[in-house]
Amino acid sequence: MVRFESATLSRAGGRSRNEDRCGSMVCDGAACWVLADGLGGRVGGEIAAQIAVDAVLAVFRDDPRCSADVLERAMEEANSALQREQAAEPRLAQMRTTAVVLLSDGSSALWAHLGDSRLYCLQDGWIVHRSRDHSVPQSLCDGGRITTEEIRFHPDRNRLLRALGNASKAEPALARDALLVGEGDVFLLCSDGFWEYVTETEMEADLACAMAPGEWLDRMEDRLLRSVAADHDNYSAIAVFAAADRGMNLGESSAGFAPASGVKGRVVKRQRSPAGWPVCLGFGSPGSLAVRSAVGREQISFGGEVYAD
Amino acid sequence: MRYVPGNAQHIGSREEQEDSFGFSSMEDGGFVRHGGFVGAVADGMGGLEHGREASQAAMRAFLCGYGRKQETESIPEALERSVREANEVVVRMGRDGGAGTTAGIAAGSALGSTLVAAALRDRSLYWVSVGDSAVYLWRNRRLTQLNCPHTFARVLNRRAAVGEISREQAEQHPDREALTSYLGEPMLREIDRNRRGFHLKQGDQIVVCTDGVFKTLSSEQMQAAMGDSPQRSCEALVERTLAAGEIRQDNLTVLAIAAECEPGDGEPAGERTGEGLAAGSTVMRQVRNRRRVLILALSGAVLAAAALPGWRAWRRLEAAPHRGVDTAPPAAPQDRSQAAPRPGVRAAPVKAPLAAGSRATTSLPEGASAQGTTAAGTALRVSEGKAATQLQSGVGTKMPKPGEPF
Repeated sequence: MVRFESATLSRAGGRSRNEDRCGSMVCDGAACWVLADGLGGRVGGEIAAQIAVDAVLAVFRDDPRCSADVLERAMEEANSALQREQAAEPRLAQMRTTAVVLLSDGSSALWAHLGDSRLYCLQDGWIVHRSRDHSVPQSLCDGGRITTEEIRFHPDRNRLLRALGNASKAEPALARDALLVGEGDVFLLCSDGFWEYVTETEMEADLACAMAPGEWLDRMEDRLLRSVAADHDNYSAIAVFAAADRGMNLGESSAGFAPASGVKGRVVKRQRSPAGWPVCLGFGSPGSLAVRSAVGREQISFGGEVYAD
Repeated sequence: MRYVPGNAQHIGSREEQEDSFGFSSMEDGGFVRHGGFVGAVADGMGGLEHGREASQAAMRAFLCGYGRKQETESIPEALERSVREANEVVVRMGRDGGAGTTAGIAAGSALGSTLVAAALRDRSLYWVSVGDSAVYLWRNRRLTQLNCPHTFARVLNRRAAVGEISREQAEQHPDREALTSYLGEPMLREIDRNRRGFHLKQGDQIVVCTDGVFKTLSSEQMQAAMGDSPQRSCEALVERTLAAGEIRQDNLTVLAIAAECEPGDGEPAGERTGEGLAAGSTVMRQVRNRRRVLILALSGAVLAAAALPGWRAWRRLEAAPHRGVDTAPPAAPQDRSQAAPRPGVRAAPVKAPLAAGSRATTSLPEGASAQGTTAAGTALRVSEGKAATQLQSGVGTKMPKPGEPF
């Protein structure tokens, strides 16, 4: 069993509105993180993203398990919720969103995505998995026409091949086999406004410095801000660190992370968002439920005992 | 893992070389096994007083501090402790004034220096950085900056990101380049470092340099200068920086360390590497890569001519009474009309007109690998000043002198 500590970052960037939404939930010893990037150029991007986040968390709340079945239903429900809203509100008929979802029960993890929001999994400091975007540049890359690096800033990078909100069924890319989560494993969910400016090597380098997920996001955000253009896209990221539920060896060879400062056995939230940003709700006792949507910058951690057998 | 270092330095168009650099000793195999191999640069703050002396003192204290690392101390701990010790030395020198070769520094002087160091051991990299000097990873033909520079720009960018100020205000702020942390303040504000080792791959190079390089060259230009040979990479970076023709080119210093896997990595090296490394001809035999030998031979002739002033500087150092740590002669006093910097930030660097006649770049013969298989003294040597260059390697008292035929 591991305990998780996570942090969320979501900002408008150079745009007037932030159409990215992040959410997370801890429920009955399992946790769900979700990030959605409402498609720009259409009315209701932020509404679509919010509907998707809410729908995914609602499915997880009703069935808080780490299973492919839950993931699939969550994505399908998000798609249906969008279709209902599109039908009810004609001006929102074109709204679409990406989504990436991570589920874990402390021993295994599963994820799914649609569109070009990404999930990275890092083990022992290396990126061992990146979700493949449902986008034209990713297809060009898969066909050997461009390199992985050239996906960033490709002229067709806004052309998505799949998204939530289409009339058809949602077709998420879904990991059927759960990953066994170990101490030191790290997940990063992020929108394209984030990963375009932070290379994989930079993610790994900044992770080597960070003892907590918020610190990792801070460093990567500093990089992003150093290189962005004035009108850069919204950027969002959720960092999830898995740490053993005991004291950590912080020695140089350790792949572990600092113990979360949360009170053991209780789900604890640490809030570090800048003044003025909406403050998220606190969490209750183990096994209880919490729903949040994140804006700005915040951190949560929850103790290992929620996972106790 | 085998480490192949390279370095180059130039005074730019300044009156004085305020950058210092140094490598850790590779003579003591026992030390190298737990301490690895360290390369560091320090950039004395021209806006403050005695930038040259500050960076020299910081470099010396840092390398000596790291040389005291025990096996029980982790590399990140040792790097941080050494940086703190270097800070204390710079603070003390400013407070109490200099002595000996630094007697020109009056008590109460404001001194400041950046410092960035990279330590490589096995397949792991650790860095420590204070100020705005940079450490890069060269991998897959791309340079990635690893450290986070301590400039006020970071604070401004964050303020703009949360809407406290506009992006234009952040970008046009006059103190953008000011340092938010540097050696020379009683309380070291920030230290950038990695706590977990960063994994190295075959063919990676670590590049450590001062802002004289990356403020003149774009990251694309820097990438274009990089090649397989760390020595050639350093020289190309210096050449391209100078070729950019900045009228007020700052001092520039570059170190590069290539990480190369070898058969039986992690085991004691099968071949003795120490013998005769001090002799240039033996350096050749240490180089296993034939291609590099060719490059080395070709560049050797060029270096012999280019590094003559460096050799002269070396001869001066030879005559210096110190053992273990060499110092350059005291600097001539300089007119300092610059206003005192605001607390917490670094004043704009002193600009100087283009000096008549450029100084030579300095170099380090390649192939001086960081395999510490021999036991000898653990003396660390600091290299600094106009064109001085040195790297200790293998048995023998001195590294090959620049300009000496290979």
